[in-house]
Amino acid sequence: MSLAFLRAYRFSRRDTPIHRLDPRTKLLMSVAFTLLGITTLDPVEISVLLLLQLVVLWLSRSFSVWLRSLKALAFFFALILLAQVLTTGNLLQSAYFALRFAVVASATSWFFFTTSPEDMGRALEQVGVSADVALSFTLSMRFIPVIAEEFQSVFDAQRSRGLDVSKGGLRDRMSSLLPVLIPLFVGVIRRTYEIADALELRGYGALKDRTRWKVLRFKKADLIALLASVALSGCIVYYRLTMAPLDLSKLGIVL
Amino acid sequence: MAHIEAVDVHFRYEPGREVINGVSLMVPEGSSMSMMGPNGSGKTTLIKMFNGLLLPTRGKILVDGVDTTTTTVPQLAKKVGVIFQSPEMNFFSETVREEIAFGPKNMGFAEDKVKETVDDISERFGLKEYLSANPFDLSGGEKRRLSIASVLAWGPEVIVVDEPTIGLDYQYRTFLIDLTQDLRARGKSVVIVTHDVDFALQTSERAVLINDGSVVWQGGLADLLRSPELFDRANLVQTFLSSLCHDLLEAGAPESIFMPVKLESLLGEV
Repeated sequence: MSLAFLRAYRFSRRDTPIHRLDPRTKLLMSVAFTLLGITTLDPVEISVLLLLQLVVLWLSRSFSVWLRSLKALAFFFALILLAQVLTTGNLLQSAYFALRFAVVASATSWFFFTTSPEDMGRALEQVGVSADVALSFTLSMRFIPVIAEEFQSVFDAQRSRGLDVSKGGLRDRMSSLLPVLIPLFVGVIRRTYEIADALELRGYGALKDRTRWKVLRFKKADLIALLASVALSGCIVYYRLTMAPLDLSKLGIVL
Repeated sequence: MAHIEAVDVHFRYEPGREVINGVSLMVPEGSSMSMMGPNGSGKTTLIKMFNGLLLPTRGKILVDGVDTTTTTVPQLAKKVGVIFQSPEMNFFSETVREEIAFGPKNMGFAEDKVKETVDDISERFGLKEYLSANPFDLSGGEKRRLSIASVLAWGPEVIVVDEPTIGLDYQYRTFLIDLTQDLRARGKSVVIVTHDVDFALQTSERAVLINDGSVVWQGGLADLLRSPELFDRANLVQTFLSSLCHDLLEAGAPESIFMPVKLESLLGEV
């Protein structure tokens, strides 16, 4: 058992056109991909969305990280596929359902591994979210991989004391995780107190009007990316409104 | 016979980057060994393979002759007890009694045997009066003792301790040195993972130096002390104690007092 899939969302600092984009631009692009992805089951749309994201991944030099993130999510793909096959009995439709999950998961993952938690916090602040909430968000994002590692450490330590989570039914397995979850939560709570103390000791909250060290500004590249996203989203919506869904039987695929 | 034998072990967390690179070593019965090397050299990864938490990507690890790939972590944990860094961070029970009993119960001990074990080990570790207390309410030193007691409770033959000296006071350090001697007297094997040269000298008779996932040297402690250049090969720092031991060996002091170093004998020699 592992929380390795959380590493899929870890930011990696690189100098690429996508990394340089304003986080608000990336957020809008990611939301557009996500919304278009979750509202379709059309094979053409899913394929186009996936292709577009491959372009983004290529531009951000994150292709291998993305592949690893998909591998980490393999369990969820299998679960979705199985649930769909069992409920619909249609293998191809189930496969598209799983592929749609890949589109949505990718839209979030490339955003997270090209945008630093600090930039996300700055973006939130600049759209009017309070500094405290933005900081909380930044810290939460930053600690996801740390907590994943801590989970692994506690899990390893308890397994070394004979803990076996592979025995029994689902309920037994869930309750056998308590020796892992309790120390994990205790550690997280302890850490939040330590961070709060460290922030206060370094003067956080001393000034009512905070100044900003780095101010986000839209650049020409942002404008191009936004216009391209709007145009492509418009094309997909137009296609959705005017074209009939792809009939696979006409292509000779009969299920 | 060796309790643990690593044969040309390789390991990588992700493709293309070997963290352990062809390690071969043995932990003989009743021995005490220090595994030394700088941070990030692969020591913790290696000991995670001793009880099957990680499996070699190439080569093999044998625990009492059994390949770790052919058995389970709980089975291996019966023989190899691992005490990780900051083990007090892993408490979860409401009482000290339950915390100690967790391991023996998992190992399949009968109810009365669990009770007997808890009584015995709590007595040995000075925790008897706290059996009904909450582990989180104990002092720092008591928590450390409890964390060790809760691993030794089911009687593993090999005890692996990962970086035990981090953040230690003198009292607890002395306790650990006495404990390793006691464990050896009981016929157990002890593996100590550390970059604290002084602690290694006082607890072990053999040393394995690891750097960049490879064994750069292994042998008896006296041989290590005779060759200070070995410290550089494992990025370790010579200490006053190791320099003193080196000088004494050069001056013809008997090897027996360096296997491991006994401060009383050393003072006599000085």
